[in-house]
Order: sequence, then C-alpha cells, then structure tokens
Amino acid sequence: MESEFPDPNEEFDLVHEEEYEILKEIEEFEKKKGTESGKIENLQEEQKRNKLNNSRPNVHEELNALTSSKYNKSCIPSTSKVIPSTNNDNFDTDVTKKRHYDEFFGDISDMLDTNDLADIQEPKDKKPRWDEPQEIIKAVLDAREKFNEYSRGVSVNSKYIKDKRESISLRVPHWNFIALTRPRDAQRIYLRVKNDEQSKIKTNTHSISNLLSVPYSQLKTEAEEIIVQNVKHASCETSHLPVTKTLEDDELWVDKYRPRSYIELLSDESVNRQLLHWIKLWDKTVFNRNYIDNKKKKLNFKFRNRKFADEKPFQELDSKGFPIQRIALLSGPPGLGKTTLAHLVAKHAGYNVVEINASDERSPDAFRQVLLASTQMKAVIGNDPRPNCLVLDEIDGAPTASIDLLLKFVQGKLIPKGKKDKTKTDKHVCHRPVICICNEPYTPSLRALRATAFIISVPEVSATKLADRLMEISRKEKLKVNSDALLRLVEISGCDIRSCIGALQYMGGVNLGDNLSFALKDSRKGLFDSWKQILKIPVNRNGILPLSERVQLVLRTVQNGESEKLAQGIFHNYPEICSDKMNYIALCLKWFQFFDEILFLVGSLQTWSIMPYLNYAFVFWHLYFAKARNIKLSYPSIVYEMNQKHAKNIGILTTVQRNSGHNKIILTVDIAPFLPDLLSPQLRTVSGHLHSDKEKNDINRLVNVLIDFGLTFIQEKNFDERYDYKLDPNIFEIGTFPDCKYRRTLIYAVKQIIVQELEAERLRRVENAIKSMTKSAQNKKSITNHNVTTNSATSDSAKICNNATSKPNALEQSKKLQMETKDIKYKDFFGRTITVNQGEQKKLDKESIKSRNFLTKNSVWYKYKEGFSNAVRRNVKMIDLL
Amino acid sequence: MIVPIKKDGEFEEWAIIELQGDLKFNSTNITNVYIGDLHFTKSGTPILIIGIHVLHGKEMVLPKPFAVLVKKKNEVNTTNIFERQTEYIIKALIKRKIIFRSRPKPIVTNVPKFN
Repeated sequence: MESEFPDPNEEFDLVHEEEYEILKEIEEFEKKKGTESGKIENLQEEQKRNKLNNSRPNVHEELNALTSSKYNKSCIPSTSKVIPSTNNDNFDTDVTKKRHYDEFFGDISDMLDTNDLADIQEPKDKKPRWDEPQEIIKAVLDAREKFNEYSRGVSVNSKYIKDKRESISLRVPHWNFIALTRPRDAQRIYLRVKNDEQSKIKTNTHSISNLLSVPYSQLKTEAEEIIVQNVKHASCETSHLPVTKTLEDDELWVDKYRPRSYIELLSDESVNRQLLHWIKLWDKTVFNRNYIDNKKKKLNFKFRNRKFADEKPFQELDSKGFPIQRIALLSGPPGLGKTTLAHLVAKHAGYNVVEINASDERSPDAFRQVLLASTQMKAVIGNDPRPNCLVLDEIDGAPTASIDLLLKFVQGKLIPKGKKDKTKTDKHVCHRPVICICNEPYTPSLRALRATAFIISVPEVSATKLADRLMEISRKEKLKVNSDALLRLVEISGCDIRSCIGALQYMGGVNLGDNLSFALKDSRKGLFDSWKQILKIPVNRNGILPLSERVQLVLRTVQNGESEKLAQGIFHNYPEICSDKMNYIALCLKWFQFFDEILFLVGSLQTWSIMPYLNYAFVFWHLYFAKARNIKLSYPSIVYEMNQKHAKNIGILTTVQRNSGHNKIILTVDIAPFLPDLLSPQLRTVSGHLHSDKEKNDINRLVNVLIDFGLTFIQEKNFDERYDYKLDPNIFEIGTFPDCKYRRTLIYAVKQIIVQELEAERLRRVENAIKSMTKSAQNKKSITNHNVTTNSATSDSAKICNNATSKPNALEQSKKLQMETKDIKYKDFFGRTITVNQGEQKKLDKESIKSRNFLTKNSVWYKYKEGFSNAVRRNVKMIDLL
Repeated sequence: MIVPIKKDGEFEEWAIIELQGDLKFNSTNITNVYIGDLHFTKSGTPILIIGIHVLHGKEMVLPKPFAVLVKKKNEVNTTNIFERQTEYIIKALIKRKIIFRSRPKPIVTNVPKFN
C-alpha cells in the first residue's frame, strides 16, 4: 500500500478522486439533489484542504493498522504497539497466505474505511478473506450501498464520519485527546477533544445541508415562545416582583455583582493600568520572565497613538530586578472598589491573593509571621500553586510598629529573629508584591510608608458609569428602577459603589427617593473633599448649577472651620488649575491678601467678629479657579517644609552666632553669602610642606576664619558610599540658595588638609589658653616648693585642678613642664611629629626625659600582678604579742 | 593572761588601700616616701596615681572592722611579770578599704604633638 501511495498528499487526492467518482454516480440517481452535490463537492474540497492542513496523511494508515491489528489480534496481543510501517512485515510473516482484501482493493480503501469506522462502532464478527470471493464481493457491495446511503441521505453524516475518522486513533495522537478503553477487547482508543471552532464548522455544514438545521415550523414556535416570554417578563416587571426576589437569594448583591474579571472593573482605567503595570514589574523576580521588554515593544506599535503612550514609564526595576518601589499603596475614599481592584489585578497577573485586613491581628509579631509566611512560602498542595500576593487592607489602622516592620522587611533589612546569620539575610528580602490599601494616605502612621511606596490614588467612579452598572444589576435582578433615581442614589452616596448596591438591594428599588440616608463606611468629609468642592464646578444632570446655589454650596463647605488650612490648600493648588487670565489670578491673590490680613487681625487683636468675612474669599476663589474637569489635588506641604527649613536655619545661625558673636542679621546678610567664596581658596592637593607661602597663608587664614566662626568639617558618608567633608554648622546653606551650585568647592583632599590644620590650630589655641592661665597661677604662687608630700603643695595643685581642668595634678604638673617648650613649630602630615629644628628636637627630647623623670623621680613605682591576690596567713606567736 | 587593749582618747578612722601588685622603691629608705596621689571622681571612684600609672579602684566596707593597735611595753612593774607588762592602745579603726584590682594604665608623657 505504501508503495502505491508514496506521497501522502497524492494519496489523499487519489482517495478523494475515488469519492468524487462515486459522488458523480450518485448524482445520476438523485437528480433532485443536483444542486446540492455541488455543495457537497465544495464541502469535500474543503475537507480535503482541512485534512491537508491538519497533516493527516496517516489516518489511512492508522485505520489500516486498526483493521490489520484487529485481524492479527490473535497473533499480536498488544495491538497498540503496531506501527504502520511494520504492517507489511506483519502481513508477510503472519498472514502470508491469508491476505486481507483491502490489499487488493487498494483503490476502494476509502469505502472500506467507512466500513471500518462503522466497524469500530458496531463490531463485525468476521472479515472476509481473499479465498472467499463471494463474501468479498458482498462486502464491497455492502460498502457501496452504505456509502450511497451516507452521501444521499445526509452528506453531513459523511462529514461527521470524516470528523470521526480524524478523531479516533489507536496510537497516541498529536492532537488533544481523551483515552478510552474499548470494553470488548481492552483496546485503547484515543478520541479527539474538539474545540469550539470545529463545532461551529459542524453547525455550519449542518445548515448547508438542510438550509435550516431545525424545521421552519419549529423555529417559528420557538420564536413565538420567546416573544411570549418577553411579554410576560415585562408584565412581571411592571406588576409585582422585587419583594419575592430579594427573599429568594440571601447573597449580598455587593458580592454577587463584584467584578469577576479585570475588564469588569468600574474604576478608572488609568488607575487600573498603573497598578497592573506595577504588579507586572514583579514578573522578573516572581516568574522570571521579562516584562519590561514586552511592554516596550507593545508600547511601540500597539499603543502609539493612544493616551497610554504618553504615560511615562513611572518606575523601572533596580539592579536586582525588583521594582524600585516595592509596595503599592492604594488610597481613596471607601466603597470605590480598591480591595476589589487589588484582588483582581493580582489574580489577573497570576497571583494568589493573601489578604490581611483590620479584622486580623496586626501586632508586630503576628504581622511578621504573616509577612514571612505569605511572601516566602507558596501553596504546594492546592490545585493552583500560584505565588502569593499580599494585600494589606485598611493599613491605616495598623500600628506604626507593624508598618515599620513591613518597611524593613520589604527593604530587606529585617534580621531574622533568633539567628543573626549574615548570609541568610538575603533570603529575607521580599520577593512578592505587597499591595497596601488605605482610605486616608496622610495618616501619620503611614508617613514612612508613603515615602517609599508607589502611591496610586483611586479616583471616584464617574456617576454615570456607576449608574449604568446599577441599572444593569437592577435589570438582572428584575428590579424596576428608573435611571434618574439611580443617578440620585449615586449622588447621595458620593459615588460609593458598595453603599449604592447595598441600598439597591435593601430598598428593593421601590422608594429610592430623596430622603435616603446611608450608613456610609468611614464616611468623613476630609480636607480633600472640601478643596474639591471649592475648586470644582458642581454639576448635576441639568448642567452647571446656578450661581446662587454654587455660592451656597461653597459657604456651606467652608462653614465648618479649618478655613486656614483650606485656604492653604487652595493657595497650594491653584497654580495647577487656574485659568490663563492673569487679571483673575491677580484678583484672587488680592483675596488671599485680604484673607491674610483678617487672619492677622484676628490673631493679634482677637477680633473674632470679623472672622466670618473670611468665608467670602472662598466664594471668589471658587468662582475664578473652579474647573469642571476632575482635578488632582495635593496636600499643601510647603508651609510645613518651610517651617522646618526655617527652624533648621535658625538653629545653624544661633550656633554660629554663639561662636562668633555676630548678630544673626549680619551673619545672614553680610557674612554667609560670601563665606563660600572666602572659604575656598585655591590650593593644590599636595602634602602640606610642599605648599607655597601663599598657599600656606591661605590655609592659615582659612583655618582662622573657620575657628572664629566655630565651623568644622565633618566627615560624612555620601549616598554612593564615598566620604565627604561637610561644614558643620552648614552656614553655606544659609548663604546660597538651594538650587545654586557653590561657585567653587574644595575637593576632598584639600578639605582633608584643612581639617588637619584646623585640629592642630585648635589644639594650639587651647594650649595657649592653658599656658596663659597657668602662668598667672604661677605668678600668684611665685615660689612654691614642689614638695609633694606637704600639704601646701597638694592644695596648690588642687587649686590648679579647680582652675583649669579636672585632671589629676600629677598630669597637670607634667603638662606644665611640657608647656614651656610649646612654641616650637611642628609640621605634621601623617600624624607623626617632625621637628623643624635640630636643637629644638634635642630640647624636646630633654623635655620628655625631664617629664618622665618627674614622674619617676619619687622612685616609687607600681608592679601589677595578674590573677588573684592570695590571702596570706601567717602564724603569730604569742610571745611576739607579749 | 590578759593582754589589755586600751582606748586612749579619741581614735581616728583610717582606710586600707589594697593594691593588687607590689610597690617598688629605688632607695632602701622607704619611710616617709611620697607614693602617689589619691583622688576621687565625682561619682566616687577612687583614682590612684603611682609614678607613671593610673589605677582605678573601688571603695568597699570591710565585713569586719579592723583596729590598729600600738604595742606599749610597761617597764614599771618589772617584778610582777604577769601584770601589765604589755598593753595595746587602739590607734585607729578601719571600716573601709579602697581596693585597686584593675590593671594600671600608663600615663604617656611625650605624646606626639600636633602643631
């Protein structure tokens, strides 16, 4: 057989040629279906193409193998092992004489194939042999008849069979399959698992064959039924349903209609994308696949013209492949679906969500346990072992210690309890994304977190979008609600999705009226809401509210105090949103001035009666600044920052003032601006003794200035692990504006030299001071015998002690001796003493010997004995006592 | 036999200075020699300076107080040998001692000078 059909494609052509011939024969008999046969031909062609595409050349062989194996059942018990290529060998060896008929009727094999297929379903007990010609003829005839039947009745059937033929295999096929065991002979059969496309094709062919798969009458009745149902449905809705419906299911609608997939999310698309992008950045560490590259590629040709393209890549990965911001902080008012968003995004990115919220214990210890458990372990037994993603809900309620712990943990600074193995610490870096959720991002306990986290503020859902979703829900729940009521509901709840759906469920949609009040979760009109109220033009469904109402609204917002903070916020935010017209801005700024004046008056004169006038400033600001579009507000932190900076500068000034004795104003105005120039002379970076005279003078001058102002250089570590010297009360900060570069700064080596000189000079001055003091002391007690044992000497030394330092007087005396030689010049670079003068060197040596002699001249010294002191017992005789 | 111990007027209170080590002398005449300075820090730690050494010690109360006695021989009654031949007079009481146990620190005199 293989020799006859060397090429599989050719084989199929041949196979189908045969079929066409037969079909043509059939056409003669069935003239009424003449038109159809063309279609059938098309169909066949299509099938052929499919087959070729599917590369199914060995179906035939498989089937042959099936038959042959069946035939050889007795000889080869494990038929599944039969491989088509060995077929012939089998035949030759085992069935040399008893040849199967299809060997001779190779051309009609396809017919027999159908036979064989039928055989699979309805087993034949016996196959005709070559030596029984009648039976073969009969079989052939049978087969033809059957084939005719197939093609005449429903050509779909033949197609179906074709499908089946492609769907059944005795060997392990390359397509999707389900393995079955034929009970009759324990034969393993593999059935194709079809996907939807194929079934669609099938239905298509169905309709082609019969024009309609279902008779017209049936269709008509079905259609009528649908119409009737719709009518009924409508009537039901109008009449009486909601009460019974709500009773039926006790599931909360909030849960029932929770978004199930990323696409269903109600929240702002850009926010969703931000979070998704962030969580995808973890792919590198968690799934070990590169996300950034894909993203870039996508951006390049997919989103080029969309608004996402201009979204900057707001963060990248650090060197280890972690996102730079390892925590995402979702913030926003309650009921916007932050938790849902976090869960869905995490699921979407292929994580298993572990949630900790306010109801869990969040003491630092418990927190640590959960953190470690959820980020370093992974469900192994569960049916989908995905990596965990930790969602910390309502984190603003967690104790600060826990948040600190979280931060330390995420930054990899958490030292495992108990063991302090340095090598192990690397394992404790957080390898999983952590999403925190809070309502108010400006809670004090979140301050540290805010600095490091990637903050996403979830904006309010647009009212119409939410109303649409509510409408959909009410339709599904068969509630009769009009959209106006829904919009109203949305407005009242402040776009709180949760409370909206809750209200919808429990009101049953009947009395969604005006007097609706919610138990809103954590509803609190914060500063941000007030600012928004002022800086946004209020819109209802009729358009912009009339002016009087707007003024009323603003006044109502402002009434509850905190007007100073509110004004600060507006002042902080207005440059972002104000219009281009400068005269408006000028006008508003005048009102700010007015505001300040009144505030000052109230503050200084306690004239509270003029306080109410403050509120009208807000009205003006509202009228001139407010915008219809959604605005992004930020917290006015500038005031606080400035206060801090001011305090810091004052601190610097006072320290410098204390040291130098200059007035603060003189310092800031006359001295500080010039100090950077004065304190950076041109110096070469060579060792001290190589400096020229001018440079030496410069250094001397510099050192003197520094000491006079009480300044020092302090060694500090930079961000990049390098050392640098910083001026200690950093008066440069006062003298220069923060964004200006110093015109010239000293390089590190020069600063090093200066610091050394500074220290030396300082010591010198201290010594001079002591010297002058001791001199005066010596003058007072002109001639004192250094008889140390006498009382007078000790009292003298004690006096010196009191006068100068608290050092013991023996030291003091030695110092006195040293001091006489103190006016020698030393050069010192490496910390060693280098004397300039040979004679002075000698003198110094003498001095040191002298001082040493002073200490040892009393000829008493102490020899320490290590270990325990033994108690000595000595016998005393009585005679010695007497 | 009774060796009388007498209290002769008011006696002083002394203290023992206990050193873990030896005091060495250059000369053989060690009477009335200046040994060192004893100071107390503000916190009460005693500091003893001997030669080029500084010793930090501590003060403690003796579990049993000592008395310093001076032996006095009475030459008066030579005949009556058993009576009042020798007597002791209490010179001082010692209730506390200052103990210097730690290794002494040297005082370095010719320090390299920064100039």
